[in-house]
Amino acid sequence: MKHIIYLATFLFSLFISNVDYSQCRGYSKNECLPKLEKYIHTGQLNNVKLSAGEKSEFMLTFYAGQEYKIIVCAEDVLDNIIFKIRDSKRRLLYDNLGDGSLSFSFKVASTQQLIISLKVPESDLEDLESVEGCVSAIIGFKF
Amino acid sequence: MYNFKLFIYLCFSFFICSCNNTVKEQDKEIDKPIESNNKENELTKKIEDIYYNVPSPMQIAVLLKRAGVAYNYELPLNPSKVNEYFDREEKAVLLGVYGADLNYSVVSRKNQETLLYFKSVNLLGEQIGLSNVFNDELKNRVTDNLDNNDSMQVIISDAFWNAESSLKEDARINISALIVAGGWIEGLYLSSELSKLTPENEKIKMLIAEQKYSITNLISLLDSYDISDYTKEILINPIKNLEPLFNKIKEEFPSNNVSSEDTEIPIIGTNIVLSYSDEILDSISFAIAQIREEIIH
Repeated sequence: MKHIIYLATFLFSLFISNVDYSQCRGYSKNECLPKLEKYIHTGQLNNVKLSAGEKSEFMLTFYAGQEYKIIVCAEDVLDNIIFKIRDSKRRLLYDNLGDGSLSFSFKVASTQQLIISLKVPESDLEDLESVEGCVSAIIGFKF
Repeated sequence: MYNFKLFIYLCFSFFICSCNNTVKEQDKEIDKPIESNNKENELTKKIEDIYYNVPSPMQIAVLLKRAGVAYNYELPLNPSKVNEYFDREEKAVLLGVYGADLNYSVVSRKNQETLLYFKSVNLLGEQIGLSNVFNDELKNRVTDNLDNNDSMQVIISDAFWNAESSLKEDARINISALIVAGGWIEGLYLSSELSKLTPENEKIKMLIAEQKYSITNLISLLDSYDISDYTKEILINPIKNLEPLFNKIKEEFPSNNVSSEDTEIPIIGTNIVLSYSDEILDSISFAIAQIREEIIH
């Protein structure tokens, strides 16, 4: 009986984790992907659940000569996402300053690695600190 | 004792739940350029804490086309190879290889080859438990849109995106990483072989050299997951052995930065010129051909 309880606890935790991921995937696909419009998405998945004060970062190669568009989507429960782009030395190249701009089109001066950073602002309200929501960044390209 | 065991199980369960390849962290950093060497350790730590992406085979196929080389029918893997015996991890790598070949044929508008490679991809997808993605519905979409290159690019990109999502949902992220590895290997193999056939084409040489960035991300990705010793031996270790060759490709930073004033779209980042010799590229080409040979038996 005890083993059944342990197993059930473990499986339930896995289930919750996967439901979270699945929800974010659905959100990303339905809400974010269509905004790429004429850009072909690169195929990379960048979905995560974040709460106030949390940040997610990912690094990828951007090729010279291609035009890129990054779309950031966040569920309504989250405040304005802070969306930044840095080079591999972490020098700041773009910052939306949390002003609600969640899309940025650009080219790179030459092929290089860039770090995309998404952060949910800190919240003064205790209730909001524990609220989690899906945040996605989808990258498209065209040439 | 009962409560203690339950506590251990709960801790383990929540540890599993917290294993996500996209790292979340409390952000305390300040946006300042890195100015001194004593901050390098901090920088390294930060870079280790982020998720590494590898360029998709579609991107590489598009870049190959832009380099202006004609489609070569001899280079992609024989579609019938899919019928030979491979274990589950090998099938995942092979799915990545065929995925790259499929993208190469789609971007090159080779409809017959597209159908052949799609068939191999679909079969492998089913065999590794991705029949929710690779199925008759996808097959019908491919068949109906074969003449529409733009739609095909979206359909194939979507399929691999859905496959990766599905694998993550099923906690089979290691399989997803192997698909990515297979795609990267085939992309580099196609680029290297095409470069041999068109040695005057500097764009392809540059594309090979630019994989200097991707290999680091790929190794970080593969090191993050539980992969069998056999696959480590035939795939991951050889990829790691390739990294020192890419390290011989040096970055130079010319002072004339690119101006974005004349363009509608902003140009960001540093102007970097990669410096390499034909010998380095030949060594990479030889090594990647050996890795590919090993994974396809």
